[in-house]
Amino acid sequence: MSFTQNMIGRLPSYGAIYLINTFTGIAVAYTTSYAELTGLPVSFSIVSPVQDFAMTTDGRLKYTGIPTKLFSVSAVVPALDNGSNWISIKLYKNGSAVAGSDVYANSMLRINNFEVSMSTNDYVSVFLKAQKSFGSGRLASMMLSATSINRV
Amino acid sequence: MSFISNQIGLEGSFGYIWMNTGNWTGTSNFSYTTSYKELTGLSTSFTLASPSQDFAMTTDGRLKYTGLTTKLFSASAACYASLLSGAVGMAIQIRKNGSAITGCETYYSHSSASIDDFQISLSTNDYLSVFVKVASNQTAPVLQVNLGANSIGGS
Repeated sequence: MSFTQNMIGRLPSYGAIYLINTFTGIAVAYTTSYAELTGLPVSFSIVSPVQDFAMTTDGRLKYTGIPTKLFSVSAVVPALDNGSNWISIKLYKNGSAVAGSDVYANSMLRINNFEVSMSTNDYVSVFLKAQKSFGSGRLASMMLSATSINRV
Repeated sequence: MSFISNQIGLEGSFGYIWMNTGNWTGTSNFSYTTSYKELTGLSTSFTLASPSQDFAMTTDGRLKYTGLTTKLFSASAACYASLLSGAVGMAIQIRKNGSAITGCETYYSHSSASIDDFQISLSTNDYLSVFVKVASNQTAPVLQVNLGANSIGGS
């Protein structure tokens, strides 16, 4: 029953990935162009349980459900040292920027409930850039989640 | 009709609690440690938002689900403090019934931390609460804490 409901998209789809270090943080080089947060010294993990989501590539939250759905996507990126920089994060879908999803701050970056439509095997990931290049930034943790709102 | 819908879990469930002193001073000093401590029993009590559906707060700082059907919730929390300069660094967790949930944790180098839209399943009388730890033991005020949960419907 649950499987059937899922096949026709009645059940909600949800998933989240996270990366947790300590107060010390993970070294990240900031560049002035958006770079994907993937392949960092600490790998991402996917939460359990998820429904219709997987992470087959580090840092990428992939939708594996069948119907196209609209998702509420949120991200939390607490950046530590940033060389007195302003920094920015932005959602990307399948490697392409999601217009309007970028936020700017000097350390704590949060994207709250941004709506993104996803079809089977689409993925979202977070990209980061800085006002000025800075080679020794750090991220203490990171979280990226997606929750279905509606079928499209 | 609303009652019946709620009994069988058709209506959305949502709840929100907050502790906010409404000033820059914050609570009486809180003893932060390098181990996680639950944010409860502060000098300013938490408040349950009204309306809340299928949620109660029978213990300060604990958002208890009172609905009948097990549901998935999107939960968010934040804590804002006034930590000592040079000794900052805060991490928070949203815990379910006092137990940590893998991945539901944020570290930050400043006097605040937040978690946005983490999915958690709740059954009747399960509760969520916020736990905090810091980089070095210290006593300092808590300015604000909030914790919310919204059920995720079939879609």
